[in-house]
Formats: sequence, structure tokens, C-alpha cells
Amino acid sequence: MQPLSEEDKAIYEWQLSVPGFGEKGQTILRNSTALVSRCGGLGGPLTFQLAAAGFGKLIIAHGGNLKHSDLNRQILMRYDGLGKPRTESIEQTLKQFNPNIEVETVNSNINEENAEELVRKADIVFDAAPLFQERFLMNQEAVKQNKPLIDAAMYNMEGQVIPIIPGKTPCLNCLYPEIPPHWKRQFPVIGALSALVANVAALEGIKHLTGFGTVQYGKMIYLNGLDMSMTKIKIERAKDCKVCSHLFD
Amino acid sequence: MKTTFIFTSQLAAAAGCDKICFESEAGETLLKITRALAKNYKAKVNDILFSDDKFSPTIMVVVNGNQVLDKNDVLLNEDSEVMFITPMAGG
Ligand SMILES: [Zn+2]
Repeated sequence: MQPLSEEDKAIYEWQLSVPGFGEKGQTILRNSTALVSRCGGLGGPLTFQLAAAGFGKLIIAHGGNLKHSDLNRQILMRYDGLGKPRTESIEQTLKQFNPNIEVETVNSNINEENAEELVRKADIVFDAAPLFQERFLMNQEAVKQNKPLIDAAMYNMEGQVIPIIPGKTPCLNCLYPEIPPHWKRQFPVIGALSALVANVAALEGIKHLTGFGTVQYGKMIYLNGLDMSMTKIKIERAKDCKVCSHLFD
Repeated sequence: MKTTFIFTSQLAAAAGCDKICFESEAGETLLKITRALAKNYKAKVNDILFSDDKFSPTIMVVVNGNQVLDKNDVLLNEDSEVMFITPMAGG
């Protein structure tokens, strides 16, 4: 493992004193690679927190060009990036924030062609994609490669985070065996809510990798921004899940 | 028998409320109670909750904080809290 540099120690000084995390946790993050699927309202603040926490490498997959309607929540984007690939804004923002973090951007969303290779390069996967096809693909690949997956989702003033550890917890397909017929690509959301959900997801991932605190394995963390409630729901694996049931035989 | 129902995300939007207390006969399945409850709401609520004559496969049913897998056959106790979680995603 690559040890922390003097600059690392200076940058992360305030979190090196977090009980249970410390230099050991920081060194693990410094040597870890996270893959984030889509870097929008959820994935943007999530990636920002992973960068702030000191992950060694971030791989970010997000296709398409930046639109005005992205700017209420996609905080890694930049106004002068309108009409240009989102990955340009993402790279620029992260490099200015902390040039010591290696950033690999992929100007494409997760798909059948790139999922396997991208997951293979990562120690942990964060899923913040709006389409169930992408989320299912990511879930399937993470289970296949035995990689931890933190799935984050939102709608209106509500959000959910599910830490998925293959063979230990239910997977996304256990909960949603098919593409939900009523799901629409565009939905109501305020950026502060997506950032709230993103931060919970980032924290669960950091805790899992570094082994401190209590990760909500086997639970869905359900957040409601209207009344600021947080519910931890015990979730069950589907015995006939076509993605993960073979791991429990 | 009294049951508290919590609607989330798309379901709350379709129903126009996120929490309701509902009275039903003891011994009825959750599916039957929910069908009776859904009659008070617009067709969209039924569309989200049900597929054919069962709960939709993508509706998560949570009873007193625990997900229930056999959601179509579950029997409730007095004063249960049932939460319907509709799918959501990133964006
Ligand atoms: Zn599964």
C-alpha cells in the first residue's frame, strides 16, 4: 500500500483524528478506486465527497452534454460547460479541488460494453444512475465480480441508500425483479435533497472500505427530507433472484 | 382492525397524501385491505400498487419496519404500520 504523503497528512488532518478511521482508514482510501455511475444530482455530490475524503482514484461514467436543467443539482458541473460533455466539467472541477486524486472520466453511461471492465478496475462501486437498465447492469456486474455496491436513489423529497455486499446482503434485483413500469426518467427533486442522499451513500461506502462504524448491511436507509426522518428498513433477499441467489446455495 | 399506511414517492404524489389510518375486518390479507383502501383514490394509485390481481412485483411492502416477501398473503396484527415503497432512482 502506498503510504500517505506529507501533503496528504496536511489535507486530511481533520479526519485523521476521527476515532476508528485514523491514518489506517486514510491509507485504505488513498489506495482505493471508486467507480461512480452517473455524476448528476446524486453522483455529483457523492463523487465530490469521495474526492474530499481522499480516494486515490475515481472513475466516473456519465455520457451526454451539460444542459441548463442539470444545474439545480449537478454540483460538479460548471456554467461555462453548457453544451459540452459533462465529463469535461467533472474533470475540471475535481482537478481544481484536489489535483492529487487520479480521475478517469468515461463519456458514456454504463452499458453492456463497458460495465465489466469498469467494475473490474474498482474496489467499490457507487450507483447513482436514473435508469433501471443501468442500475440492473451495475448490480449484476458487481455481484458477478464480488464487489461492494452502494446504490443510491431519490424521488421528490425522498431518497434511499442500499449497501449491497454480494453473498451477504440482498441485491438490487432481489428488491426490484423487473423494470418498474411507472418509472419516468424525469422527476421532481431539489439539489439539497439529492446531496443529502449522496452524502449518506458516500459515508456508507467509506465506512465499508475502512471498516469503521456500523454499515447498514441488509437494510435500506430511507430518508424523507419533508419531515427529516430516516428509517432503516430490514430488506430480504429473494430466494429466486436471478442475479444473486446462487451465492446463497 | 386499525392499520396505518404510509405512501412514499410516486404513490404519495398519486394519492395526494403520505399517511392514512384505515379500518378493516380482522383476518383479511393485506392485499384485500389495500384493495379496499385504494378504492378511495384515483386509478393511478391502483396502477402503481397492483399488477393483475396482485401487488406489483416492484412495490416493496414493509410491515413494522421489515420488508415482507410474501406480500400478497401477509396477515396483519392490530395497529400495524404498512409502508409501500415505490421504485426510485438517481438522476
Ligand atoms: Zn439478488
